[in-house]
Amino acid sequence: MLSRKLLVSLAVAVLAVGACSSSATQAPAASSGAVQAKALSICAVENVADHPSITQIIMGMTDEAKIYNANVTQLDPAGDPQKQASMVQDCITKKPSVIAVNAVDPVAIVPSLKAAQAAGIPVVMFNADTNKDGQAYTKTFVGAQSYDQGYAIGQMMDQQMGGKGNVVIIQGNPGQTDVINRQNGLEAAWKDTGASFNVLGTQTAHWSKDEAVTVMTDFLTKYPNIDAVMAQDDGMGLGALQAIQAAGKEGKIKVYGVGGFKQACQDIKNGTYAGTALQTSYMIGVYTVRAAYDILMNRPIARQLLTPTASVTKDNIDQWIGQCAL
Amino acid sequence: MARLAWARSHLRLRANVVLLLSLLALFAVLTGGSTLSSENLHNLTQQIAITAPVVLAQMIALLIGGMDLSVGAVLAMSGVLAVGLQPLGLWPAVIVAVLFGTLIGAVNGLLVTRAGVNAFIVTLGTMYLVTGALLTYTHQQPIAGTIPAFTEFGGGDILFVPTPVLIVLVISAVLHGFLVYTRTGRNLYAVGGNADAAFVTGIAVQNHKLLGFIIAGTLSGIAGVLLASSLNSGSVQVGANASLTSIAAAIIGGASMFGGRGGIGGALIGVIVLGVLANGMNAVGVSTYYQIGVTAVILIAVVVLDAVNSRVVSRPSLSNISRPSLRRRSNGVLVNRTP
Repeated sequence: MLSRKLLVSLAVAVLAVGACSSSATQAPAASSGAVQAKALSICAVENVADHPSITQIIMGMTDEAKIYNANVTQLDPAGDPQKQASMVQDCITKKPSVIAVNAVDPVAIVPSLKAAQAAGIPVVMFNADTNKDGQAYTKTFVGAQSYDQGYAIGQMMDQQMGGKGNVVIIQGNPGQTDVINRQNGLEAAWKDTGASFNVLGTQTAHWSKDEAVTVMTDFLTKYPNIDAVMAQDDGMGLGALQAIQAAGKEGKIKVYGVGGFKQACQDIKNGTYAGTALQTSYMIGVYTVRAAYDILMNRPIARQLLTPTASVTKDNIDQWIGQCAL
Repeated sequence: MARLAWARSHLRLRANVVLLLSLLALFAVLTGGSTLSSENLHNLTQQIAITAPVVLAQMIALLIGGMDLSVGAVLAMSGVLAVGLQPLGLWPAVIVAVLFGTLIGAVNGLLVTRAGVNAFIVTLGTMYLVTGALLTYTHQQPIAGTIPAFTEFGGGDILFVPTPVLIVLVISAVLHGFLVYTRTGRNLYAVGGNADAAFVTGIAVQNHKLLGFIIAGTLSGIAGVLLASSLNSGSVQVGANASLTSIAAAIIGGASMFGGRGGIGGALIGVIVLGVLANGMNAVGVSTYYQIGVTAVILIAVVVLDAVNSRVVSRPSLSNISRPSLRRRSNGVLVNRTP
């Protein structure tokens, strides 16, 4: 009994000691002015690293870091906003030259960004930006505009389908920045072009090709008259195509995706895949390291550093197929 | 038996403190002391405090011989309510958010005790139910907080101590007092350890189990409020792993999947071990994929060590079983140590 009490008080003490000693927090933070003398170090927090496009970003960062002789630490919260917040805090403690964040949740990340700014560590957002409140605490955003990607697909669908037809939508993880933006962009394009698509259903496949096969199979069973499927990335688009082929409906349903996966580009060339919004993810990684270096050197930096995005269909696939890297 | 159980959890707790101290020392050495900087300790304790209530919830659920898989979903929904209802005022939003946890806890408890369904199945069901409600209520969009004072619960400081640390310490003290010093609290152990025996001794087993689930639900609600406050937003993406990580933390802290064991001190140590581990590995720069592996190894090692320990403890001390409720005082007098 006694020693259990002792242990409880020990646990309490561990919590309390750490907490109390925070009084000196302000002191070391001010030293970031001397940052120029140091080599570039980046603490990068991903959103969900086991996704092909994020893998490409990490490759881009790793390659570019060699050129700048930069030290990059990669952390992956695996889609958990709470974990991401903790990881940004842990980055702050490491005092790197720059913290790079690929937001899981554009709103939930804001307090962490504020803390980074308070500690004097500049933040570069990449791939998935924070919201307007959060942008007050960050230097720049590097990435493709996921809103524009959705918009590009919306336009493509309007042109290729004459602005009408029955559509199903397969989304990534509910609540994620890219998911929200691509959906908003898609709807905005439909509105702007005056298209009147009939959305039969919207489901998540959590960015997973396998799950997309199941989701699409269910859609095909439920709705016999689907004209097109809009998948929020090519991985899920390819999964949907697989389900369509298995159901013997190939050629009857147009498949749209985002990203520019190699297989999707091949299928666009073959005519089995309708179109994609090409995202040069590798370049997002490259630009992020460059942006971090520019910040380190106190150079002026643009509020947004956009990587090339392109609407790719059968008409222009030959021009872009070399960039389909995933 | 009581002595045996006490010895076991005592050994486990002691092993965990050793584990915790070695981790702290290891990371301090690897990072040249930066993990022990006041800045990092402040950050670390804040992170741990935000995660703690859900582990306390799981500890209580395991203690009564149940388990609660709905903690993560309740945490997310309560967080969203605490932010989404802010137009009604700060306190109404917070109170409704916590009471939502209480409500789901009561639903879990009633289904387990009155309908006699297994806790695993019931809480799996409420997990899906709450997640569905969450996605519908939010339209899958994050909600930003509108009342600045709300961020104080999870993100503020009182006299340089993170507010959530103080909140968790108060909650822990109250729960510890309840479990150890009240008849109802001790009965929860009895119900979890051996429901039949507890029934025979006249304990209202079903009511105690119901109470356990209600406490667990309420704690999940509090966890949601603290997390939403620290993120100043209600997010549909939080809590996805909370159910399993809270079970892991509770087990490391001395809980048993078979009920009747564990306590608040253990739960805190479990959550501190996982927190120190993640923070230290991030500081050292260990890749996240190795981190998952290391956490798994520690979880399994703790459980295996415990299994070995209990064998070591039970073999030479068979004689203890014949005088289970007796304990030798320092002056050599045997006294009754009824719980």
